[in-house]
Amino acid sequence: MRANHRRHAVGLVLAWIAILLALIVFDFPLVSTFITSLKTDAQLETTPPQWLLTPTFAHYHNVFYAVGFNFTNMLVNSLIVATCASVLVACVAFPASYALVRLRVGVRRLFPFVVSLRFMPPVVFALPVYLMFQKVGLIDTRLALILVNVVFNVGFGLLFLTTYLQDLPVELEESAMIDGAGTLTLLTRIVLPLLGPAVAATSAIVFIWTWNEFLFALMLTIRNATTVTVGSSLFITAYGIRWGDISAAISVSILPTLAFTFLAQRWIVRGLTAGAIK
Amino acid sequence: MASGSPVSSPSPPARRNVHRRRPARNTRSGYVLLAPLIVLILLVTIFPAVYAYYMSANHVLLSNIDQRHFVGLGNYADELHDGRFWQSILFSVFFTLVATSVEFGLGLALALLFGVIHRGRGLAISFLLLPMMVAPALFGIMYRLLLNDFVGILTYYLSLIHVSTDTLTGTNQIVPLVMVIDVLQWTPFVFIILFTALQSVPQDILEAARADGASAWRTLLAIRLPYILPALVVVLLIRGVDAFKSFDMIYVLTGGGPGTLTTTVSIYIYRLAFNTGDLGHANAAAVLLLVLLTPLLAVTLRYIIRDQGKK
Repeated sequence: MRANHRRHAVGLVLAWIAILLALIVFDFPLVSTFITSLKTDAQLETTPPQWLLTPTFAHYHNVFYAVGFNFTNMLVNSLIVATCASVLVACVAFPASYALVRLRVGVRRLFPFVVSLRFMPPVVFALPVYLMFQKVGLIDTRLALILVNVVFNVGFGLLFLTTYLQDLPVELEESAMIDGAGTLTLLTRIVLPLLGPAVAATSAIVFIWTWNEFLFALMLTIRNATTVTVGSSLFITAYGIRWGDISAAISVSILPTLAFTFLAQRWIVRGLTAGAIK
Repeated sequence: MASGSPVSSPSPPARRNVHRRRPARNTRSGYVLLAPLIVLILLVTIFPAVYAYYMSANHVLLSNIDQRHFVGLGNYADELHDGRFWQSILFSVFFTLVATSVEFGLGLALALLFGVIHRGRGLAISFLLLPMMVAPALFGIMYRLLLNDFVGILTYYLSLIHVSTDTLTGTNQIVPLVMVIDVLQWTPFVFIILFTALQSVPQDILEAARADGASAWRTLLAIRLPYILPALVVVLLIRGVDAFKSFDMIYVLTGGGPGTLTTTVSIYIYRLAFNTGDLGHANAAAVLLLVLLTPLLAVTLRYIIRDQGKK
């Protein structure tokens, strides 16, 4: 018994060593980018690289006040586009998933098609969407990015919400219907409260994916509607090799999605595994 | 996760109204509820898709969109005979196969490893998931910084073991390098799906196996892996499809170069449209890509929405 215990303890220690090693390898770029953003220009080039230092926020100042590089505007763009897209996906996917699961409408064709959008290469739609938006004057607007992100994420929303809706017992809805509740009342008063956490999780994930989206944000924006993800990526070409500034820009750009990961880990995991595990 | 995993018993309430006919009133309100979705899909996918087919049958340049002339299937014939198109497809396939297999192996190993620990696991999982929460484009930039000749931190540590980043970013090593970066970003995705699946294996089965004297290895091969087989297949399919359409990370890291060495099919089409400005050929290539991908997409969808499909 005691030998068994000891073997178990040794296994646990070995597992933790391996896990910590993995965390170091996987999170290395994030940590080092953050530390780089706090270095002075002189410290950037010292070898061996310094890990412990008195932080300077000069690079953050540069990023926010650089002439011609409107970082604040990009942050606002990202915030608005990601928030609107995540709210809209919830608004579109919630009633639609009710129609799919409970009313059995659109299950055969519409549902697979919309889900398949999540898996199609965006570049296939990129060109016609670009041309169409150019015709109607939507290039370089936040609306264009919102529309595109809603369409490409709504399939995920449907997949996730239908999975949850299927597991809700119908009795509650049936008794509400007997009491004379209309579809709208049913949806907002009965189903939405029960499905609330799943709807919130959908929104959180769509927010992250929209925030991170690159191809459409690169293609459909010029200046006014550029998001931080594109802005920070193009910082290199636009401003030469100013690695401290670039690191600061990246650190600010990834902060919201990383914060989400810690705050809503449980729900994000459920969202990510939707479709893979039911 | 939620019930209805193919092996566990399906939850009865969810299955009860499977083949019940719905009255016409429900169909009507169903369409009302689906209306926003349908309008959105029509506007932002169906309409552009039709437009794409139309463009693909024309000779048309980005610099002058209104000037075009009909060439029928000419663009398709050109693309099918264009070595660069096939080269980008081949690179995408190769990239997908290698990256996905490595991610699968590492992700599974990590999932098993995390099954051993208990205290502090939630926090460790959060930290492991961080790379996949970073925009792939920014993840690419991060590695560009790490491998920079002058300030790169990895450059320094690699020089200690006599590896020069010049060779890493040179023509011989660039393909493995982008694969490694993809692995570093997406292994966590494979991990979290397989970890969640492994956690759903019922404890009583595992205890029964242990009581019968089955070794940990044998329990894994004979019980745990077969039990999570659907998740294994789905994670391979999702990762495969996603790796195949890779754009962001490689685009910011190499731009598809040196030459066309790391040009994925997405980068090929993007450059054809926006750098060369040849919209006719780019659209034809996009349609061809979709046709080539259709079987894979169909299989993926079958697996992912199999429960809904049965009803």
